[in-house]
Amino acid sequence: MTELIMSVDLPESAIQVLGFLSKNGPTPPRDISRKANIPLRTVSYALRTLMIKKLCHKVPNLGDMRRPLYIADQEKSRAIFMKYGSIMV
Amino acid sequence: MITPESLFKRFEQITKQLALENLQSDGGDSVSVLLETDWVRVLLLKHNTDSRIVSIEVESYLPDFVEKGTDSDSVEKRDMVEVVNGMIAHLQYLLKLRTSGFNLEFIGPDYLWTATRDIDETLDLDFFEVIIPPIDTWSDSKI
Repeated sequence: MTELIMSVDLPESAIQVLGFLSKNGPTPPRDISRKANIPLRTVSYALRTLMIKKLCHKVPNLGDMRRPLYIADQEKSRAIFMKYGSIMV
Repeated sequence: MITPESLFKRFEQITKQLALENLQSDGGDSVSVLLETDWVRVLLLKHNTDSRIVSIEVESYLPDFVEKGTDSDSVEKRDMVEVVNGMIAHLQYLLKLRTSGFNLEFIGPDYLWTATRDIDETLDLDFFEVIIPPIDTWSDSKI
């Protein structure tokens, strides 16, 4: 898997969002935007990229079904940060 | 109350600060909050790859008291007409931004919209008049 991860190219915004999710756990997009000071549009784009590359996934938010939570794949995240260096937000 | 003059003044403060940071750092993009209300957040974005100031990004969303619909101080205890009127006013606000050159984008199912415009010209007070939200409860604590 590490070899596969090493071939993944990510924009800086996606690495920032992945770092935030790895550190803070499941979070809805608007909260990522506010707490990490990243524009909502950038967060949305980053999450789409991370989902396509299977670095995070979306789960229902039982407290508020309108605001799904995003969760980082911790093992893949570690491999990503080995490649890019740690950018924890 | 937010005025075009107060927004312009804050815009100037932020752009000066961004210019200083640009000299001191070769880091990534800069993001600053120009204003924030319960319904709207207006951001200034300066891209590291392009020294020109800036993009303005308006984010429009439902207020927290609407989203947390099951909490004790939720919308159930508020005037629903107030919430609906707020939504209508902000949809019209988004249309006004589009007329002024902003690109609209629908972000998510929880009523998240953004309006974005690149700024590569000198701005006048008319521009800041346009970006004042319809419900303009200015919250200094959020800036």
